[in-house]
Amino acid sequence: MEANTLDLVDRNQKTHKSEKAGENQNSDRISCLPDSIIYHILNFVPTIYVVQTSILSKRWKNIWISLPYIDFDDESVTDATGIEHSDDETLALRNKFRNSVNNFMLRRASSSTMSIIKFQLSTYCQFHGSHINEWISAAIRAGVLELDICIGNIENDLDYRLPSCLFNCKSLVTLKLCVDDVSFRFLDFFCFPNLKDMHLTHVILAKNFHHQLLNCPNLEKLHLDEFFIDMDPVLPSSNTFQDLTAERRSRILSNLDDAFIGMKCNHQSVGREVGRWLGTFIRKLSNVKTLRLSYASIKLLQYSQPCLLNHDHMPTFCNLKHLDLEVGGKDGDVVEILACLLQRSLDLQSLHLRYVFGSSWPRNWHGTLKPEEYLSNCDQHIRKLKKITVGNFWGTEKQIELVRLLLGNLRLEEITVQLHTTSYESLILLRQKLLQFPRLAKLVLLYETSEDEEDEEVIEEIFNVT
Amino acid sequence: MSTAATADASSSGDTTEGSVRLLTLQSEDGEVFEVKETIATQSVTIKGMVDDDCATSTIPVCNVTGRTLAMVIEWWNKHEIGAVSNEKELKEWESQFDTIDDKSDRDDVYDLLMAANYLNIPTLLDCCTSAVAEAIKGKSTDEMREFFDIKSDFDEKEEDALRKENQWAFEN
Repeated sequence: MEANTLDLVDRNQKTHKSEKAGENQNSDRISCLPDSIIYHILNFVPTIYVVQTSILSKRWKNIWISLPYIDFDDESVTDATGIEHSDDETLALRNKFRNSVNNFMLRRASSSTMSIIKFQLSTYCQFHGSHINEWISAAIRAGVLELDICIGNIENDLDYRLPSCLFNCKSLVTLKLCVDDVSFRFLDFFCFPNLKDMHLTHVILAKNFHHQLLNCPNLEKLHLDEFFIDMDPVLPSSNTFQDLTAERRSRILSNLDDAFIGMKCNHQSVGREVGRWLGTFIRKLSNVKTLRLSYASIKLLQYSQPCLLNHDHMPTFCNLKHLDLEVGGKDGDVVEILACLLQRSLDLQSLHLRYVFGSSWPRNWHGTLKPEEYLSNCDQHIRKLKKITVGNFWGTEKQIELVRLLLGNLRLEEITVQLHTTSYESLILLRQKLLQFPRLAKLVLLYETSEDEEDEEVIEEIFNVT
Repeated sequence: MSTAATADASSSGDTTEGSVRLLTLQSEDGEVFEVKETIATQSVTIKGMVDDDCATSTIPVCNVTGRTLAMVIEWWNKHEIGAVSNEKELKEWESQFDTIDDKSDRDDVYDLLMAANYLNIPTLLDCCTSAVAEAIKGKSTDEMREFFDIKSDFDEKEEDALRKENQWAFEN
């Protein structure tokens, strides 16, 4: 936790000193701690246990009511974990969870004026949207700084809208929202003047989302996991929010350090339009130090323009140090986009390629150069790049070909390949194949020795430049 | 420990070791420690004093004994950038504060908590508070009273009334 959030808890509260120091010292030292430290301790304790402390002694009777860190999860509330339950059990679990949160928030709102620093809910249950909105609204009324809500499902998912008070919340510094089983819609217009960390999972965003992000001038971290974009035109806002002027729209997110663009998309429905949208979005992120792109995001970028290297939409990433790309297991087209990103990231220090399963996309090779030429062309640009890691490598033809190209064309310190194979035989075969390629960089192979998960041990083999 | 405790309290002020400035800290019970400024400024409180140019003479660290201050300095030394080679080694070293089943461990953690709070050392405060939190989790009220030596000053009626008021939290 940051030190500044602690300041919200009154540091000047009196220490509850034991009556006599020395020999007669009270052995109950925890009760003598100042409130600010007790709250700091309770930050790490699920809220339901904190409420149980109310009957310990008079000192503890009212501590829970002003609790600044609120954390409800299935396990602590009901002793239940994510495993399957019968319908009756699920219903009971849900009611218990809802009652606990409702009771707590109601009592807190009526008895305490202390701000909520963190409000965290995590449950596998399905809730009606109105309940979720009540909890979020209550937290916002208490000036919440950090909102972290992860819910299994929403009952009325099609009509569900987050509460409008959320979207101009001035206090919010961290916003994490996730619904496991359905996508929910984020509002078209929003403004978070103090927000630093936005983490949305399974969200549907409006077409003007990247412009609206400029209303979050302090944003440092943006993680959009499994999101869809709604390309329908955005209707003018009826409330106080105004859309931005053309001049402001052209700005970038200047404080952004870390971005993950986990776009979801199935290829049948892809239009160039979505790809171009993503291109403009990526331009706004050009200041980042760490960038991670999902497989679908990369494919969409490729689809947006026939030839990426001459692509004006792709910005220069002046500060980018770490790039993390998901690559489809059978995808052979990755070299062009990789070369395109490397040539625009002159400060890059490490690159991580991670193979993922997933539907294969139609072939889209527009390159005018051979793959070798793309890579040897960017070798001269990437002076600071020391290390490439290839993760989840299971050895398809395309995967082996990519490692051959990287080894033979880039002058780096090392290329690490994390091998994931189903049998010992295929591991030996893959290892042989990789070792026969000429190397401009040291090759590090990582693999597990045993198929038995109990005693797995990771082996690291290092092979020098040939 | 690399920091030597000097008995001579009068040698306070702007001493330097190489190009690194040394600060003089004095515990509540009069023990004096010389600490590199770069290390001591892990304390937000001390950093504020250095920034305001108030750290030129001996800095009194009230309410913190020499024994606790030595532990704090050991924490600083371990957490200086480059002091340990990797995160794992640091976590292993920190894990000595994780268990507070013994009363003496508990007392150390309380002492460190008060020092970390006064000196405003976020990493140490987080470490000690989470150790106490781990001990609270999963305990019934009676188990908590026993573990932390908390004497109930409620009579039976009062406790029952409270339990009823927040019944929802006791239904596990």
